[in-house]
Amino acid sequence: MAEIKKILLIGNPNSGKSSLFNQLTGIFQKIANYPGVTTEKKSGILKTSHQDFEIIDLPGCYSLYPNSIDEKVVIDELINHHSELIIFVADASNLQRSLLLYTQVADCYLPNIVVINMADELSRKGEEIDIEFLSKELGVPVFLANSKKGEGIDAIIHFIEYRDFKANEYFFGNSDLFENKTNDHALNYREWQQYVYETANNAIIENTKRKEIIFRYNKIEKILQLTTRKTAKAFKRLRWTDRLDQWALHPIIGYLLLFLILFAVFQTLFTLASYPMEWLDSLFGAIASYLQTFENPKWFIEFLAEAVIPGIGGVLIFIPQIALLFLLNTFLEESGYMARIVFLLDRFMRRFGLSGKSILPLLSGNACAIPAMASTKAIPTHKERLITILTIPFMTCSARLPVYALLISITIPLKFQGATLLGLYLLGVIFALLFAWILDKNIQTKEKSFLIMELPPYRLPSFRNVVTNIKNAVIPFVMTAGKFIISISIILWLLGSFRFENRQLERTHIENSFLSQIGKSIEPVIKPLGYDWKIGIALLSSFAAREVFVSTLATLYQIDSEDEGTIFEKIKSQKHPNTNQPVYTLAAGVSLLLFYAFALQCMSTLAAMKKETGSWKYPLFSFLVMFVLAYSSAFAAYNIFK
Amino acid sequence: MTFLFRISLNNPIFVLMTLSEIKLGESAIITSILNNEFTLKLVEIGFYENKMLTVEAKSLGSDPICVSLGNSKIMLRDKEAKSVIVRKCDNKM
Repeated sequence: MAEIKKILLIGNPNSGKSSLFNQLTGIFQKIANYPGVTTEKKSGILKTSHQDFEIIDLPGCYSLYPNSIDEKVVIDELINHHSELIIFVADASNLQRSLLLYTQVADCYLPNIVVINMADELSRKGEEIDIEFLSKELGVPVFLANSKKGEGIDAIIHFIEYRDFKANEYFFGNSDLFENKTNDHALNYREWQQYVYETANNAIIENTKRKEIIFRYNKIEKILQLTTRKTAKAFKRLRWTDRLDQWALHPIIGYLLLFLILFAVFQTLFTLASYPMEWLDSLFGAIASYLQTFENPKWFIEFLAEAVIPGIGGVLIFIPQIALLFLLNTFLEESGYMARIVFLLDRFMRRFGLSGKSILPLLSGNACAIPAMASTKAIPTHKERLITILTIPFMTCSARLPVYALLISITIPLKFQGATLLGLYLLGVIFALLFAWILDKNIQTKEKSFLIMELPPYRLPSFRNVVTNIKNAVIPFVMTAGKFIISISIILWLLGSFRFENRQLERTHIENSFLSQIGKSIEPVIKPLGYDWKIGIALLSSFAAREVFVSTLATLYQIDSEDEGTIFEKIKSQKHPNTNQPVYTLAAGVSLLLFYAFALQCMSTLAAMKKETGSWKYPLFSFLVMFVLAYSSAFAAYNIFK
Repeated sequence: MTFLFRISLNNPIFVLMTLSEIKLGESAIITSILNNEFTLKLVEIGFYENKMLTVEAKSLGSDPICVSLGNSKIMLRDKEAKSVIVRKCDNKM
């Protein structure tokens, strides 16, 4: 079989490139990471009756001169790899800026076509384009399309299927502007781009780039004057956006609105997601207890019911929150409000090395860190995204709540209980910001920090894009983080159910298992914090999920009751067997609370972090830093309150 | 040449200032972009000589600000706005 031919999709951010990509490739999509960057490489297959094409959706950018590592992918793909055709996606609502990038791409001398996307915006805007004339001026086929509704797609596919692809004339022409200063000959644009790509930036290059862009803009303005026409409606269109922005960007009302919207988002995540989560939880509980009605073979049934099924359940339980967060995220992003959030919060967030867009991931970290990490994709610069990812685990996620509830109710005096819980939440936020600030001061980056960003006109999100975004968040999570979570769940079960006795592997109760041997062997390490080996086991097993802490303690103390009050009372009454002193004193309680507030005691978070950063370096770093912080603060607290 | 220059000096319309000094709701015409690390990014998004802009919104502490430029709205930080040199113009388009 001949090698599959490659088609590149290039365009500005927000030009509807992704929805065109979805339309062309349907379900045949694949998402991978570019080596060394966090940008996702989205590729898919377009099936036509003659042959298949591989379509690659490149990250959106404004020009071929990259402003970030992620944008560098575009120029690299253009000049260093062969591709059959370039589909340039132009945003109908901002043709001028789209054509700037287009003329640069066209001058790289590759066959290309132009798709003017979101064509419905044109009539709403009161603009008309003479497509034939524009096509003649640019020298390539120009298509009108509305990828969100699927209009105009057939014509594009038909063209790809039947035409020979041709490159157009140089837009810029051969010019002495692009001189290679080392050997003094004029370069064509492709060679110039190659030269810029390989050469360190200097003042001459910068100046040439600037002259080039202004030259292009002037020429584009002339073309657009000839080929587009504005009606009186044109200025009416932006009126809605202007009206809304008067409120949304207002220095006082804007912040109130933002607060309300974020509060609503948080409430939805916290409350609405809890119903499907409870259903899933009881469903998997039911499956497990149904399995236990079978007798043989016993070890296998137990393995399924206690390790595999809870493991799968432990992965699926995150799906409602991830889906819901991405629903809200896509809504905010596509409606155009996300850019307003950045506008309002940039000044505050950038002090900590975060982006205005970090607010949503951080806030949803209060529900669960897993979906929060996945939602950091919207953050434009590499560094800000990394800092956000590393900061999220400090936020008080909902899995910490059952642990806090137990520990607070059995060790903290009644009148301080509310304040303690509030204090733990605040502690999370303060340390998150502090950690972000420290990271910001210490992470070196070549990326320039700037915020020159468009505030797009408000528009209604398309249902299809929302669905695709949710799908693209959920499936990779299940496939990558999920595998890891299930494996750890199985390993923990094996450690908790077996022991070596007379050189034979033997099924046993958790008290005598490998896990308890490990718990006993780490006792010297956790004793300074005021914990005994049973707490040690609970700490280890809660690595599967923090709330497992409570149920492990209940198992260890052989409490049969389902009633929370009884469990709490029984745990509270535990005494050290040797000294007959109570185990859960105020000092031990505060120490444990601080340990849980800081320690990255969650394998799913680590797996998600690995998935988002593409390396084990960051989860490991994060785990160590947070462990040291947890250990030292717990140690200090125990010795102060003792 | 000298004559023209003198007129421009005497005429208050031609006082040059940076974009960050333009007040909310006021319009201005770009006369130049200072050469620094933001130059290219500014030019790319449409800030170049003879373009007219209007300051649409200022967030707390006037940083960032939002300007309308042609048909689009752009936000930029104070330090970036300081590298856009403009002259004020009276009537909003």
